Amino acid sequence: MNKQRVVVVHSSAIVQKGLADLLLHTCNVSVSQSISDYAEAKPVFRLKKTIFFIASQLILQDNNLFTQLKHKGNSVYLIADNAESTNPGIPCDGILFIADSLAEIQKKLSAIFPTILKNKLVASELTSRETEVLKLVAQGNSNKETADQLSISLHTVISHRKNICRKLEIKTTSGLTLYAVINNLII
Amino acid sequence: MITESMKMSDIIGKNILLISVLNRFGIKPGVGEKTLKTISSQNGIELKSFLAILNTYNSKEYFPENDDVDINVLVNFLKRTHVYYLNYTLPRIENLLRQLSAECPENKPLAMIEQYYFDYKKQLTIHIDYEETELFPLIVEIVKKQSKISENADYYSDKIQHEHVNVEDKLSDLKTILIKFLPAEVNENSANELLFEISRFEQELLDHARFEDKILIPKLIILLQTRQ
Repeated sequence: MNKQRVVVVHSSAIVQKGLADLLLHTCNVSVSQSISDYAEAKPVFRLKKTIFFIASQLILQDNNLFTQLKHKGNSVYLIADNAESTNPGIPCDGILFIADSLAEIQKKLSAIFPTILKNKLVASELTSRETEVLKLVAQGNSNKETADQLSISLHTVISHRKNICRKLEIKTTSGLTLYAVINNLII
Repeated sequence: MITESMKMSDIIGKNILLISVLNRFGIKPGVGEKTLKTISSQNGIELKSFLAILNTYNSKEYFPENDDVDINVLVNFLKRTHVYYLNYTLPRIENLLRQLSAECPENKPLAMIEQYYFDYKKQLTIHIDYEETELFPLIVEIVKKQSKISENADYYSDKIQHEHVNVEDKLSDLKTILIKFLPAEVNENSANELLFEISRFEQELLDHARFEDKILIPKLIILLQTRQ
């Protein structure tokens, strides 16, 4: 899941829910906050390093808003009804149109969150280090014992284990052991 | 949201998975045009708890208030759920696994998966047995206000929640491993049935644990605290 904060500001509940759903399923990104009301959104506009999806009307109504957001290092994407409802002079990071097809929207969103999508796609192969950790854990070694045998820190073992579980979609030690035995990693 | 004035046939029609929940209250299909309220009173079921339990199973978003469910009704329901797991679900999964192993007796992974399943079953049975012989009687006793307990409330909360996560994760691992390693020569219908059954059981366990972790245990904690 994303660590970056994503905020949607739009008066339409359909747009809010639809965008949140698309972000989740296309990019595995969850929306931190959805706001329908401009007044309510004011405190949120003080945030830094946030990805904003904002109704284009709000930017048109308030000239300073865009500058203010960009100034704080935020990314700003507009949600516009059509090309006429945006100001071409605004150097926003991108525009989503209500009339965009599913494929167009997905393409735009994937471009915004490329690394997250990429990680998800290449997540299946274990690295050789992870395989070594898997072997030791499957043989019944504790995290501490595994760390000692590989001369790495306990923290590193735990982080390897997390990645192994995520990549294999197996959560328990007994499940990992079964997986390792079936794959002839241990005898 | 399921309400008392809805027809039972509509409720079942909309979510067929509720049948096994209804069975635990002694209700079977063949419900005619009767409403939930009528059926509930004919079967001597306490309406408010019945509605809360059905709605919890029916929708992830629904969550009953603490007072919605009578603790005795809930404990009885959970006990019948255990019986269903032990007498129906587990033997069914076991039979399907045996059937698959019989089809490819030389397949080592399948034999190992079977062994994993037996270990899992043993663990689940011990867990259920603990709840039946210690936890539930304790709760019933506390509700009757007759108990003398020395244990700290956190003890129960931690123990039960930890075991639930373990029981759910191990089952989910079984499913993942079957999906990855089922040998190509097994009968696909039995293999599908096995995967459907495990997935359904996975969902059931999640719902079941929601009742225990979110209603039963908090209730126990409140009761314990008021007595200390």
